[in-house]
Parts: sequence; C-alpha cells; structure tokens
Amino acid sequence: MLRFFFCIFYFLFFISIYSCEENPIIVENENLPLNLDTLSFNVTKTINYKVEPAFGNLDTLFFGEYEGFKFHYSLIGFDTLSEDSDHSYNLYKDSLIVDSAEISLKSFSDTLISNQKFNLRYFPNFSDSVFNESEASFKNFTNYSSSSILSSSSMMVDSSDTTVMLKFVVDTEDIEKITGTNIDNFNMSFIVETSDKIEGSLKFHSSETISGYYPRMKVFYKNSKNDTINFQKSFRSYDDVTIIEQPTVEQSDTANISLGYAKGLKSLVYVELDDFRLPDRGILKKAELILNNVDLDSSSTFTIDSYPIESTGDYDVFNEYNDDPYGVNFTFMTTSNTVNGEVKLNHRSALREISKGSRVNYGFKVESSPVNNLFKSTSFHSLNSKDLFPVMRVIYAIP
Amino acid sequence: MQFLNKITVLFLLLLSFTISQSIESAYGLGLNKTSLHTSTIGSGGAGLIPTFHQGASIDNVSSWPNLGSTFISVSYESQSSNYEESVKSSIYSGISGLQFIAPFKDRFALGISLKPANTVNTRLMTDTVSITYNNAPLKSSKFFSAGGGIIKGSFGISMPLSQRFGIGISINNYFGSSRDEQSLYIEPYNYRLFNIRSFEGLTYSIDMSGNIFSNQGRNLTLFSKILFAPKPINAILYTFDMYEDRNNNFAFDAADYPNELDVDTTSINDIYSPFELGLGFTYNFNEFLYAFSEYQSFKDFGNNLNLNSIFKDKINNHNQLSVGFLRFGNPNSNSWQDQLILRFGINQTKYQYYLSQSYVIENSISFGFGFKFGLIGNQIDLSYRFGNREGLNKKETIQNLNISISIGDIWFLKRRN
Repeated sequence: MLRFFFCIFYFLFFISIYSCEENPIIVENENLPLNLDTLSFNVTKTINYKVEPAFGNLDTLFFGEYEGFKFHYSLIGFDTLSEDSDHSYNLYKDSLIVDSAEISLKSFSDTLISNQKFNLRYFPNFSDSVFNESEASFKNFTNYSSSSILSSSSMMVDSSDTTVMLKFVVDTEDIEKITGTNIDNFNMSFIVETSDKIEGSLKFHSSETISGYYPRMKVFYKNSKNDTINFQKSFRSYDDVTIIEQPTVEQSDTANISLGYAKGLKSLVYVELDDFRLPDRGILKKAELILNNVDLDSSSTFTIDSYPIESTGDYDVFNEYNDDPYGVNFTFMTTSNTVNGEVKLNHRSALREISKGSRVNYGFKVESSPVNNLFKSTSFHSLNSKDLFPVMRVIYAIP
Repeated sequence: MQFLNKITVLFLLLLSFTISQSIESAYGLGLNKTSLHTSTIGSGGAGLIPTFHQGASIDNVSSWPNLGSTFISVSYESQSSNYEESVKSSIYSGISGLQFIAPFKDRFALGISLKPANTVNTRLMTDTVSITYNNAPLKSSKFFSAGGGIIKGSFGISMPLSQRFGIGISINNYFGSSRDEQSLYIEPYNYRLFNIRSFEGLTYSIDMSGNIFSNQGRNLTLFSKILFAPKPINAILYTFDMYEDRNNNFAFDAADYPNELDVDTTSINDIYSPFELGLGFTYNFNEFLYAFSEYQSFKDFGNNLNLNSIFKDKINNHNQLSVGFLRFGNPNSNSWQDQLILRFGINQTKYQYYLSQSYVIENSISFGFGFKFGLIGNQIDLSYRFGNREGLNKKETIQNLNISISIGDIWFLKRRN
C-alpha cells in the first residue's frame, strides 16, 4: 500500500510539472509598472584642439611623404631580453667576442624599390632610454642631431620567405661602436631614415604588428677573430615610432568639429545634462551623442571614438598641445561608424555614472579612430548649424 | 532508501504548491486561499462543515476525531482561467495541499499540514506599441510574471469540550517566498527586473463544532472558526535593478548590461495580518443526507503595500457565503454506488481591494464525489467547480478540477476484537 501511495505522489508530481499551459493574459497598459521615457540634452559647447599624433601605438613605421605629412624618421628600440634560449650562450660567453650585428625591418608591400637608400643611426652618448614611443614627437624629440650613421642599406628580398625587407649590417669594424662594457651590453635604440627624399610613402611593420614581422636585431658571436660564428642572439623591437611632421593648421580645422588622426585633431563636446538623475532601478537603453557630417557625400564610413573626459575642458579657444591633456577612462570608451553621414556615440555607461553622482560631467572627447585612414580628416556640424547641430538623445526605462 | 524517497517527494511537493494564474493574484500578496481539499471544494464551502467523512472535515481541526483512522492526504488541482478578451485559456495544475491527521483516544486528534495561504501566479502581457525615438519607430511591449506565495505550515490538535462539543487549536507558521519578474521589451532587447519577497509569521486558529439540536436522528450541528495573527507577518523584500538581457536568457549574467546589478534589501513590517471568522451549520434529513450553509469573513489588517507587486494594491477582505447538500455513502452497502459521497454547493465570494475599494465578485457552482477503497477507509475525492469572477472591468471564467487521495491507517486507536 505504501508503495502505491508513493507511486501516486510521483505521478502527481510529474503531472504538475508537465501539464501546464500558461498563456499570458493580455492586459491594458494602464497602471502597470515599467515605463519608457526619452530626453534630449543640448550640446552647449564644442571646441577643437590639436595634439601631436600618437604613432607609437600603430603597427606601421612610415617613410617618405603622404598628403602633406612628412615622415622624417622612425625610432626603434630593441628589447634587452633575447628571443633565443640563453642556456648555451651563458656556458660559453666568457670566451666569446661580438662579431657583428644586423637589424632588419619587413615591408608591408611586395614592391621592391631597390634604388631607395636608408640609413641606420645610433646614439653614441646615450643609454637605452633615448625615447618613449608614446611620447616622442616631431616637436619634442631633440636627440636626432646627436646620432651618427652606423650603416646604410637598400630594400631587398628576404631569401627565406621572399618578403621585401631592409637589412642593416653592422660589421666587425663598426660593432664596437654599439657594444658597451661587455658583450651583453649594446646600444639598443636606433634611428632609421631615408637617405634622400622619396616620392610617396613606404610602410614597414612595427613592434605592434600581429604578423610576426616586427623589427629584429641579430647579434653574432665567435670565439676569436679568426673563428667562424658560433652563436647568435635575436632581439625584437620593443618601442618604435615614426616621427611625423604635420601640415599647418587650416581654417577648416577649427571651424567645425574636425577630427583627424594624423593631424592630431580632436574635439571636446559639452552636453548640458541639467542635473539629470536616472530614477531608482532605472536603466539607460541609449544615451547617444549624435553628430552630423559636414560632408554631403556621406557614403564613406568613418569610425569615431569617444570618451568622457576626467578634468575640466578648455572650451574657449583652439589649443595645440604636445601631449593630450584630457585623460580618459577607457572603460567608458564608445566607438561608432558614420551611417548616412551621422554618427551615434552611445555614452550610457558614462551617463549612468554621472546621473548617480559618481562622475562629474566635464564633457566628452571625440576623436578619429586609428582604424580609419590615418591621414584623412572629417568634420561634423557644430553649434552653428541650424538643423544638424550636435545633440544627446536619451532613452531609458524605469520601474 | 525508501525514507530518502519519501523525503525527496515531500521536498518536491513543497516546491510545487500552486494555483492557477489570475489577474487578481498579481495584486499584493495574491489571492487568499481558504479551501484546498477536494472534498471542501466539491461542496463549495470554506472547510468548516464536514465534507470528507460523516462528521469530519479535513480543514476543520475540531472535527478530526471523527475521522476514525489516521490519514495522509494529498490534493492536486487543475485550474483553467479564461478572460473574455483572451483567445486562449490559461491552464495550470499542481499540488495544492498535503496533510497528515492522526486521531487518538477516540476523541482526540492531531495533525500537520502544508498548504498555500496566499499565492501569486501571473503571466500578463500588453499589446505591442510603437514609439518614436530619434525620428525612427521603436516597438515596445511589457511582460510580467509572478509566482510563489506564502505557505502555511500548521500543527493542530483537537480535543473534546463536552459530550457534544469539540475544539481544535492550530498554530500556523507562515513562510515561503514569491518572485515577480517585470520585463519591458524595447527592440531589440528585453529590459528586466525582478523582486523577491520572503515571508515569516505566525497565526493561531480555533475551530469549534457542536451538536446543538438532535431529534429522531436529525441533527443541527454548528461549526465555527476564528483565525488571528498575534502580530503581523513580515517580509524581506529584495529589489534588483533593471538590466538589459542582451542574450535573452532571462537571467542576469556577464553578457548583460550593466556589468553589475544592484540589489536593495528591505525589511517590511505589517504586510499581512489575517483575521478570519467562519460560521457554518449542517442539518441532516436522514442518516446520510445533509444540507449545509457556511459563511466566512476574512480581513487582512496589514496596511503596508510596499511590496513592489505588479499592481500597487491588494485584496483587503473577502466575504464568502455557500450553501449546498451532501450525501454520504453507506459504508455497509454492497453496492459501490451507495458507498459514494456526493457533494453539491453554490458559492459567492466578494473580494474588496485596499486602495481602490473596488470589488470583485466570484460566483461558482461545485459538485464532487468521494469513493472509499480498502479496508480502513482510503478515499479518492474528485470535484469540479465552475464559476466566474467579475470586477476591475474584467470578466473571468474559472474552472477547477481537483483530486485528493487520502490513505488511511490505524495508528493510535485501539483495535476492537
């Protein structure tokens, strides 16, 4: 009987799980919680500013000229740690001498321009910390004049993989120039430049490349002057940057919200949020800063990055800076493409914090993304436009 | 192993106390449920008058000694709800009560039970509307679902007051939780929030029954009940912020926005303070045929509405009146038809809301039967109830189909040689 009793219980239990057909009841949207609201916030201030472009974080080293931009030279610093295993080297290094070295760069292009000469310079009177790739720029890098030519080279085909490359050889006679007090100590910072003016531009892989073709320095060792080479060590580039001279600022660069990566043109946009407070438990669906492109041909796509700035912005005059004075928190970064000449930058995470009082509204920085053609600029309508002025539109849900 | 099986089943049963969804159950704590056993629902009553056995009601503690043997009873309910404007009915089914009753020394009994006191079970949605945002149309709709409620775990003891009067006292422990999820769809994502409430409290109830008139085998028997809370039942309310359910999996996770979800925990006092008064009588025309009437008045003196329920109001009181007939089976008959217990009743319940003071009136007609099997009065009860609720500008048709299985055994009673 007890078994029967529990069989019935099990039966009822499983029926209770599987026999439900709960169709929702349609009700009038009256006195129900959850509401949707929209708001528009005016942009009250915009200003452009100019900084030295950040070329140190790119995967490319440039040489030559392009649309008014002059690529004077590239600075390359190599890592002090070898890519190879040091085990055998350490066993024998007391009896080794440095024989020679070579520094190579890989080209993006398969086109070989064999008559184009390049020079390799080094810094005889400096230690390794010659430059910092995130800070060095045409305006602030002053050590060029103290560098000396160490080697020259032309573009060639790498026999191992048929890629086009530059290879600077530092032979036995010159190797002492970059060798320090012992064989583990080298000058690790160099300049690579074209020896004469070139038409157009050439691009080589930098240390940020994902192809594996980063600049590399190989050092060769042997036991005595007459011996053959016994060891080699390879060092990858660690810091590298192209020093670029920008064209002069034009009227159009300051008139609208103008953005250009290589030009270093950025904008600040201040949205008057009127002490907006998101209601308790509410959520922002969108808080879109909307900018409209000046260019009537809106078919091309441009990618824009934007962040809330962390300090008070100067919205009064166009300024030029060596370093960008407006720090950002990258967790609040938003990026968007222009679609039909309009870009919508969703700043809901920043607005959420601002509305909670945990962040101060100093405005938003708008800049061209490095994924664009770096040397192209674009302009968006500023407050002067009657219809296409910038605005922030917000849509949010509240319980 | 068998003990573990029992524990597992009991645990699963606790999880599945439910009743059908209804708009009314989206208000406050949901619908108050007074009659849960199939024998009670089949008569349309509130549980005071004996409907299970002759002289015994599963829901009336004072009548338990008349059961004659120990019972374990489980009730299962299937309910259909249909609104005039709805195309489809909503059907739900589940276990609606579990009870153990053990009479001893002829006129005493004790029992424990688990039943839902208030239940919330709602799935509501609105039509899709379109709004304009940034010069583009945006579709939006709402969806609400809620479930759970307050479970009443009772311990009752019954004893005689005199030769003709009996009394039953129960201590009822209230516990359990309810959860509601509110969702606003703004294409392409759902924006959800949820609230969880857990309850804790205690009530006492006193049942009395007594034969006040007896003449030539015809008896008039009165039954009464009072239930009160020594102090109001409290709740802890957990309110979670809204989130964008980007992967539409109905749960907050790493794929959703924002990265973190704030939860606010609030202790809420005085949310529920039930007071119930019931009165009923039976009059038998012969040994097996009874007429009955029952009245129940219920009021919730809790005045705190801060529950974040879907609708910001609650059912504050209800009054229920039922009349009907019972025909108990003859256990000595050889015909199984004569052994059947037949029940019939009509019922009207009038609910009133706390803030709006508006009414919902429920009318229903019920009938059912009980069938004994085995040597010691094992019983299967079936009932069907058909009715409608009208109010809040809604008209709802409800149907209940209930089944209870009660297994009897002799535990504490002296076996007669």
